[in-house]
Amino acid sequence: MIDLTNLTIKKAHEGLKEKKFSCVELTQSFLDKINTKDKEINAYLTITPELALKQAKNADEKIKKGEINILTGIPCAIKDNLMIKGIRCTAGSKFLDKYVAPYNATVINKLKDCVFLGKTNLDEFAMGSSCEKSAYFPTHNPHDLERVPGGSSGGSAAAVAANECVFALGSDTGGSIRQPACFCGITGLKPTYGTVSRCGLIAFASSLDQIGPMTKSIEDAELVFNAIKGKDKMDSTSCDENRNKDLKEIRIGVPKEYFGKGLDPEIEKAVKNAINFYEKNNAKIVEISLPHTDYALACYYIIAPSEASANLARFDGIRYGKVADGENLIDYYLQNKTKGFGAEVKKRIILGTYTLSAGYYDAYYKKALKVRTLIKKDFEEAFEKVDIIISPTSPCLPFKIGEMVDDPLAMYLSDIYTVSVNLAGLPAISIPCGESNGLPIGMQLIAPAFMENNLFKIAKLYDNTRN
Amino acid sequence: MISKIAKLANLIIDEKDLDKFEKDFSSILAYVDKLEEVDVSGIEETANLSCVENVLRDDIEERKETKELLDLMPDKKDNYLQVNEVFEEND
Repeated sequence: MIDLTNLTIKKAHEGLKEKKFSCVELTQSFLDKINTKDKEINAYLTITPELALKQAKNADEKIKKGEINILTGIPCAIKDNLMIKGIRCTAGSKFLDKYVAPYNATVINKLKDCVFLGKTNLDEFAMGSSCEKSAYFPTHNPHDLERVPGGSSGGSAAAVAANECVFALGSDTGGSIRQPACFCGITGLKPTYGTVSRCGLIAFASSLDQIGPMTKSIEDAELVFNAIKGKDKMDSTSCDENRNKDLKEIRIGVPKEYFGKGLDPEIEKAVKNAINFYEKNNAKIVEISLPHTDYALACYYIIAPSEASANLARFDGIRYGKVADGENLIDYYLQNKTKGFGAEVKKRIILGTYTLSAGYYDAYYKKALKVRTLIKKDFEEAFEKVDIIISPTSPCLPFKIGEMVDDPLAMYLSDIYTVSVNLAGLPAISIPCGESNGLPIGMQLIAPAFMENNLFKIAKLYDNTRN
Repeated sequence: MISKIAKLANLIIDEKDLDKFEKDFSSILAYVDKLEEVDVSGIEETANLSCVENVLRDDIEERKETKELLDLMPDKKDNYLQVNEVFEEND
């Protein structure tokens, strides 16, 4: 019997269509896998076997009637900041420990033919790059259990890499899909800002957040992206735009600022090998400059906490999520927020409150918004000369659990290649491109806004030939 | 300084964590101060990225189910959320 948990969406779909196995069998294989394997990995916060098997039965009935599309009956895992109606949704926080989602996120409605195996672990409110800031427990990297899976979508990445689901959904604000995908040796896509509706995503930073697929193959990422994208009346920042550009000759941009100090030499080697591959296959390699690269992290660490401080103001224990009592209204807020939020979240709320406060708003937040324009312009100018930009996804290999916990700046610096992309609202994908002593290495491809098609096309070129 | 901002955000930082907090906070602020080097004269802000036009819906009442929301409320009376007094005696 083939290992049903090893299949991509495409293979699982073929198996279901050709009736090699039923959806209930497929789902049960994953539930069994999770039961045995997740003790070591801790990818899941909530497992939903009842829901999953109910959905699987429905899928089997549909398949019997011949009503099958590519995602029908495919078991997946959902990051726990995305709402599934009737299922616990914690955002990795104690504040929402007992919170049950009252409605479906739009992307969940769009994936209604899939099977939801459960909700995956994340850094609290998606603030982190290692999954260590979850209020519950850290997730372990399936390639080396002593190491982090990355974050904040660490649970989703680990679940895919450990074959505990066929694919997963994550969210990306500063690299939270791409970096864990890189650390776990899988594919992760952050779509262009606005292509996927954020309705039902517990917000972190509203001008940066995007939901995206985490998958075993680029083809799978494309399938899920096409299913979840689209303008949604419930998200007024969403749109249907799609831009196509014929690529007769592929011009690949290599940003000179991205290959300097601080980049692990093994990662540099692997990414440069990948670039050489493209060159040997008739792509033109162009050195480009993104001159404001040095300021991207500072810009992000003003904008994201500012927006987070506003978005997280709603968590006060009043309408839901009560974790404490208070002597009066203000004390009630104080007690709930103090007990409900973890240290990293508190830190970012305080940072954001400071940067938005009277007297500092202009110096910090407004200034950061202007630097953001400059970063966006850097990419626009680069894309006049090239079609795709290639960079490492992370400057470092997956680190050990506990290694970076004491140094906040060091952790933040690991986002250096990913944050600019969110600031500029561009689409980017991380795909595996090598390994170092068994630890996965990933590279990032960045395309102009709304050109995910080119991203998939060029990523597949590398992937297909390698395999 | 941290305690003042924490008060604005309705948070309390524990005495024992305050020192580390101040240190972390200072190092982050020192890092983001980098932006002072950038010349932004004449540059517009990018506050949001999308198709920037106001999106409106028809002004029609939509009735929604409230059971799930009521179930989440910590303190209820009939179908109303019960909270601490917002205005105190001497207001």
